[in-house]
Amino acid sequence: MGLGALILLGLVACGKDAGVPSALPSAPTPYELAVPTGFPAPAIPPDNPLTVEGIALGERLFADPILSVDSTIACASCHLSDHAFSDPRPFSQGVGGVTSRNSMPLFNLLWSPSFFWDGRAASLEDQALEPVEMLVEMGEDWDRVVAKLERHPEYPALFARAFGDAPIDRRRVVQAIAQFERTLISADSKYDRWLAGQAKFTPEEERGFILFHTEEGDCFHCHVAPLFTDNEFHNNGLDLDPPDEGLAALTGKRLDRGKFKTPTLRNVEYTAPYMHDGRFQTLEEVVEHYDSGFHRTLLTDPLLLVRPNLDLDPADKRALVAFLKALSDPQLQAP
Amino acid sequence: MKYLILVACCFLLACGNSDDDQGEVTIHFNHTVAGVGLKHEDILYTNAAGNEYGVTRLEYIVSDIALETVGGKRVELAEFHYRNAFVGATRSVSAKVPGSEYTAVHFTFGIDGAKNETGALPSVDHFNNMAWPAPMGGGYHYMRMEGLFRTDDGEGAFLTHTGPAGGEDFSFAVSLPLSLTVSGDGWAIAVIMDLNEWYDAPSLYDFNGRGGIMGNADAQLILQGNGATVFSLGPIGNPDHVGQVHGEEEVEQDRAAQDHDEHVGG
Repeated sequence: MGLGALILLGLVACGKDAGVPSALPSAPTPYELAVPTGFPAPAIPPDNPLTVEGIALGERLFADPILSVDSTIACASCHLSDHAFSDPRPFSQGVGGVTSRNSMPLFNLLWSPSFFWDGRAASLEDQALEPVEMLVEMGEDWDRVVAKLERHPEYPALFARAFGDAPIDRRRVVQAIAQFERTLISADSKYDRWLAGQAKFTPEEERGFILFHTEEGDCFHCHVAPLFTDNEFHNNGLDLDPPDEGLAALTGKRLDRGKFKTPTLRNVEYTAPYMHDGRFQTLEEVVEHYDSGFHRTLLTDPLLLVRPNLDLDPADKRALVAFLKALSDPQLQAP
Repeated sequence: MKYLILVACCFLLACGNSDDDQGEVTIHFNHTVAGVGLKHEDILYTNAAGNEYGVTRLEYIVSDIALETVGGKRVELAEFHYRNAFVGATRSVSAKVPGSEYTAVHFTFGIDGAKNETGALPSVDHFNNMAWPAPMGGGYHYMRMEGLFRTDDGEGAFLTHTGPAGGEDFSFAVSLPLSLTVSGDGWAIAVIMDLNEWYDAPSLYDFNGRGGIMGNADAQLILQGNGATVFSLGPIGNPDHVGQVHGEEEVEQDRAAQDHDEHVGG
């Protein structure tokens, strides 16, 4: 290491002690994003470009319970990396109670135009603002979060590196978290390798693929490749009278009652339990629901309502599950 | 000499494409049922088979949209256009066209079979959501019309999903004669899809007894045949005066911009 570098490190170290780096930070390093073949062009807000330093800061904040009122709950507490960043519990435990919906998995968020089960946030930044102040999640106040981060021995320098200057505010906190979340990309499943001609399906997976992508199973209308979601909202006949209004709470429209965002089926093997309320523990239960278990009401999506029960035989049900598991990307899981 | 020819060519080309003559032509795709502007969801309509119905989704792709000059030359406005009847941002196609007299607007409903292959369109949600899966022949739906209708037992659903069933081409050409002289400025043309025409003639189409029709070549053939009278020309003129059909409803929304006080988490 050269003398100049040692001096620079010394200056940065001194700055840390004071809470603000005394040396001017260098510009953040642009992050080169690799977009998987066939995926849409990603939409990154112009005011929050991905940088190496921003992503690193976001990853640290994501895992840090400093965002919660009693330093017990981090984003990662309810979005577990070994569950495709979802929660294996039906509802997540926060500082002041439990949530009323299942925690959604976090990956391929670059291609999502809305967030939460009811789509009430239009950006990852807006999404990340909410949990901090929700009693059933982190129960903290944003001004207190900012004050804690400003007093922290390391965060001021990390923010300075990530954003080019020192101030910390809530916008920068959620921008850093959003940057990290945008790097959670999953496109290396057996299905992807099969598509690229690098893997072969078993006969059971092949049958499941056919069922999924024809009117025999008719999964494809809502779970559209390559994302395996249409990014839209549907009522899939879970309840005769939906106890959770879903999208209707935003729109006020009668026929939006019980509509929720279509979750991606990528990595669905890792994201049990299923549905917005985590009512199904296994993929077999989910297949059973769509086969013959859903309710037929005026609210049920026409895509389901139009057809009689599938009454698939047990082998076909197993085939569907086998195909769903071919959408698993072990690379996404924590080592 | 070569230089002189080049200059002369440039001069001629410039004369033929004067900016003064060019005009921006916008085609609006609008929707009616029996002549009345389409509303979202509510069961308000009755088709020729007597089905009382409402529409929850109407999306389609038109392609090779062109104007024909009085000399018979086609001027393309767009190769593909996605339309969601309830999202105003998808209503129109616009392009600068040379000043000329135009005698017709042409387009293909759906995508010509030679071009309708999986991956042919840009990977964006609205095109991806129109995918016609490879095991069913590949390519893209031409149209996804969905909704509810009254049945003897209450209400049922219908899905009028048209596309290349079994790999066959059921797209069809639409030609609408018009008289339009473009000489600078902007011009707008309204093209109107009347939904009841899909179900009327020459073949009566009843929702009862029909589930998914993506693998039903007979149903696709009926809809292709009925499609001949689905489109008509609406007003033509100043862009400020040609837009939606009176009464048409849009439901697009910026969900995040709405107040939402319910704290539910997730």
